Amino acid sequence: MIMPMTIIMGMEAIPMDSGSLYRLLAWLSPGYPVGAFAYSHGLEWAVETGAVADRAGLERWLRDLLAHGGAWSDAVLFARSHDAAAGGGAGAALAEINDLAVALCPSSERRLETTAQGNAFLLATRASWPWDDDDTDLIPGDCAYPVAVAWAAAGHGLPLGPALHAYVHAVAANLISAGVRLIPLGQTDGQRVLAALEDAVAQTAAAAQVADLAALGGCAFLSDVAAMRHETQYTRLFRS
Amino acid sequence: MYDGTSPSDRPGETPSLQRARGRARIAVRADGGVTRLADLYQDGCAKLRLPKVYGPSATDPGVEAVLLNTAGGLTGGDDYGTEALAGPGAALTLTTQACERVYRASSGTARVETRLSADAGARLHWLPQETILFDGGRLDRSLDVDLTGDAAFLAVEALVLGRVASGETVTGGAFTDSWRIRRDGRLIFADAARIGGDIDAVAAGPATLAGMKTVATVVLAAPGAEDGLADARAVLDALPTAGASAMPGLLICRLVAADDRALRAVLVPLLNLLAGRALPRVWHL
Repeated sequence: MIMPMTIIMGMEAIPMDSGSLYRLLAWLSPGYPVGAFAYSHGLEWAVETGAVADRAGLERWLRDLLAHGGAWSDAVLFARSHDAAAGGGAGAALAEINDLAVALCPSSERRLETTAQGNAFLLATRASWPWDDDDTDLIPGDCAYPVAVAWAAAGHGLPLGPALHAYVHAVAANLISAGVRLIPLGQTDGQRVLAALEDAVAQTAAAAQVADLAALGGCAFLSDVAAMRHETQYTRLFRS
Repeated sequence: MYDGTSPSDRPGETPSLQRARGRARIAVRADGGVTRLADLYQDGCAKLRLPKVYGPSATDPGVEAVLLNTAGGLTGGDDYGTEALAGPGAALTLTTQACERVYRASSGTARVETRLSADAGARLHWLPQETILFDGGRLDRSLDVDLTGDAAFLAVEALVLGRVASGETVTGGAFTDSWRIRRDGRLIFADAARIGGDIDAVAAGPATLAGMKTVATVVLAAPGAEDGLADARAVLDALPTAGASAMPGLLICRLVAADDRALRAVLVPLLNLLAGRALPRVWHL
């Protein structure tokens, strides 16, 4: 193993020790017990209506989410949560970003998607990977998923760039996995989509890293409608 | 219809009045069970008209205020602010005289800021007509709402990208709309709409607008708002690209439609349902 390793984010080289990489790989792997496999962010409805019908359609849908939808907003929330929690400074500012993250959910299933994963992430991480100066009373209620991951990452001193990049990758990979099951696609086609989105994921992470909260939001309106319509979808595999 | 042409409405033409400024403020209070005007202020290009209204209730039809922009539209650097307050138990409906047109900006961004508050027992409806973003138009808008106790609040914002009937393309411009709704100081709903750059290309995406030209967001924040979900869905079923969801005290609807006519066909009955009364007459002129 080569240590320390360097991850390139845009023009900036950020040194990251192997312990940081190990934790990011663990927390953002599909095996981490947050139940990510149960959420499609409305994709299940988009497949039902034919809006997403094949590999190319899945890629286009995800590009919209990364540039204009929930994935973009979550990346910005992640970045600013990491700032607010960095250096053991998690306080009122982090709780305020969490309130905003929860209030921004346009539907009940989208709120469930982010808070159920966020709550589960904090539970699992506090049990397995506790960090110094953690304030468990700071967010007593529901915690949004990007806020939770950024909070733990900052608590562990993991640098924002790689943590955010890993988070955006995990969001994309999870939705691709949902698409593979729903459309359905072969596993290889799923990986082709992930490979095709490599630059888009990096761009979203890099842009979100320097974006303030005023840059939240977008225009993935049909993704919101899909999440709403999913609530009454007759046959469903996913919770969102 | 509501998007009739006027001399200032030709493609690419910017109204002569630039960097317009307007301020409007209204407050109403319940007086013996009847809502009356408590404060009215208007300055610059913002005007408020108070047409006589007839509501379903014989006792208190509430006050209806119609906002007018005498500059005839928005362009870069324009600056508008509206404030409204519904006192305890009062009923206030705000709307706009016409669709708000956002013209090509040679420089700068139009800024429109709206601050609303409703005290306990009040009913406040924010029902502006559509905003039409012309090619090159730039608008930065915010809606901040403070509710107290059991105040009921209904809001709509509808956006039309270009003059659909004339096939106008929108290849530039910027639109942002930021909502914050608080109840007793706690943030209960936030929304952030943002579209810019090559807008037609962005809007072509399957998860954005799939090439459609209009979108509307409707929010009802009121005790028991979630009980209206089934009825709202029944109205929205006429438009496959519209949906509704609910959480305690909150009903949220998003509507995407090919053009303004298709949007209104569903939006008007939805607002009639959620308002519990007919829309202000200006919506139908």
